[in-house]
Amino acid sequence: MNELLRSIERTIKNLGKIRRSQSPPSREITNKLISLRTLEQELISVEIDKNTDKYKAAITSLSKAIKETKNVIDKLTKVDLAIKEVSDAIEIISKLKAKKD
Amino acid sequence: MAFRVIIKFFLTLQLSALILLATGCGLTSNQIVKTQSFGAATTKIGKLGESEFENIRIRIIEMNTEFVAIDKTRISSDLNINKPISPEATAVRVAATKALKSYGELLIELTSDYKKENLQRTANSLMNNVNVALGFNFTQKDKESIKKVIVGFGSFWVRKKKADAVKQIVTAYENSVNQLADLLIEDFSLEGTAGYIKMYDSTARRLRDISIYIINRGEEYSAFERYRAVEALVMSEEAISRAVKISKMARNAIEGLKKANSELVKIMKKESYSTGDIEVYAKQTQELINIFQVFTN
Repeated sequence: MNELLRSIERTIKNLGKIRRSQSPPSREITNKLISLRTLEQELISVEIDKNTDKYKAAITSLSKAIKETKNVIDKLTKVDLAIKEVSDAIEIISKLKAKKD
Repeated sequence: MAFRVIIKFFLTLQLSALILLATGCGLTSNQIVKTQSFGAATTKIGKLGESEFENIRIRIIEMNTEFVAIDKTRISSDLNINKPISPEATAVRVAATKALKSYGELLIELTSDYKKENLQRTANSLMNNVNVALGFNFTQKDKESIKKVIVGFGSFWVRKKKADAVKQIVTAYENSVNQLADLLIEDFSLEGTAGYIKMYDSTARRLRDISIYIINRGEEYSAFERYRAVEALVMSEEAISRAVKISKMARNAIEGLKKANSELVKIMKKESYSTGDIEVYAKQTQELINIFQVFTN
C-alpha cells in the first residue's frame, strides 16, 4: 500500500473521532469523510488494476504448468498402447493364418 | 515377423527395466502425501476465489447503489457504481484461482494410483494372440505369470514417469504459485494492502458514514428516508464484519497454500526412492529377463 493511502487512512480515523464527538454529526465532517473514502477507493482501484496484469502473468505461467502435467498424464497411457500394438499385430497374423488354413 | 515384433517388444522392456533400476522409481509415500496436501490447498483457494471475487463485486455494487439512493446530495455521475471493481479485473482473478485449482487437481491425478485394468486387459489380449498366432502352447499357469510381469512392469514404468514429471513440474512452478499466493494476500488482506477486500470494507464504511449522518439528523429527514438509512446502516455493518471474516479465512487458506507449496518442493528435492522399491524393482527386472530368455529359446 502506498504512502498516500496510509495517510488517507490516518486522516479518516481522526475525522471519525471528531464525528463521533458531535451530536448530531455535521454535514461538513461527513462530507469530508465521504470524499476521503471516495479518494481511497480510487487509489485502491489503481492498485487493483496494476495487480490485474500480474494475475494475467500468473495465469500464463500456471497454464504452462497445467499443459505440462496434462501431457504427462496423456503420455502415460502409451504403456497400454505399446502392449496393444503388439497384440493387434499378432491378431492380424492370426487371422491371416486362419484364412490360409 | 510377429515373433520379431514380440522379441523387439520384450527387448525394449528389458532395456527399460535396467534403466529404471539405475535411476530409481516412483514417489515416496511422503511425497504423495505432500502433493495431495498441496492439491487440497489449491482446491480450497480455488473455491474461495471463485465465489468471493464475484461476491465482493456484487456487494460493492449494491452498497454503492444504496449510497447514491439515500444521500440527496448525490448526482447522476455518482452512479458510476461499477467503477471501483470492473468485471474484467474480477474475471481475471477468478480465472487465476481456477487455474490454480486445476493445477492442484492434475497433480493429485498424477500421484494417484495407476489403474492396472487397462494393462491387464491388453496383456490378456496379447497372451491369447501369441498362443493363437504363433502356436505357442503356454500353460495357463505360464500365461498368468507372464501377464503378471507385463502388468507389473507397466505399472512400474508409469510410476517412474509420474515421479519424474511431478518432481520437475512442482520445482519449476514453485515461484508461480508463490507469486499468485502473494497477489491473493493483497486482495484479501485488510491490513497494509489495497485490494478487493479493502475496497469492500471502504465501500461499506462510506455507506455507514452517510447512514449515521441521516439517522442522527432528526426531523431533517422523513420517516421513510430514515428507514432507508437504517437499512443501509445494517447492510454496511454486516459487510464490515463479513470483510473481517473473509479476510481471516482467506489468509489462513493462502498461508496454507504457501506452506504446502514450500514443503512439497522441499520433499521432492530431498527424498528419493526407497530400498524396498529397488528390491521389488530388481525382482521385476529379473522376471522380465527370464521371460525374454523363454521367448528367444
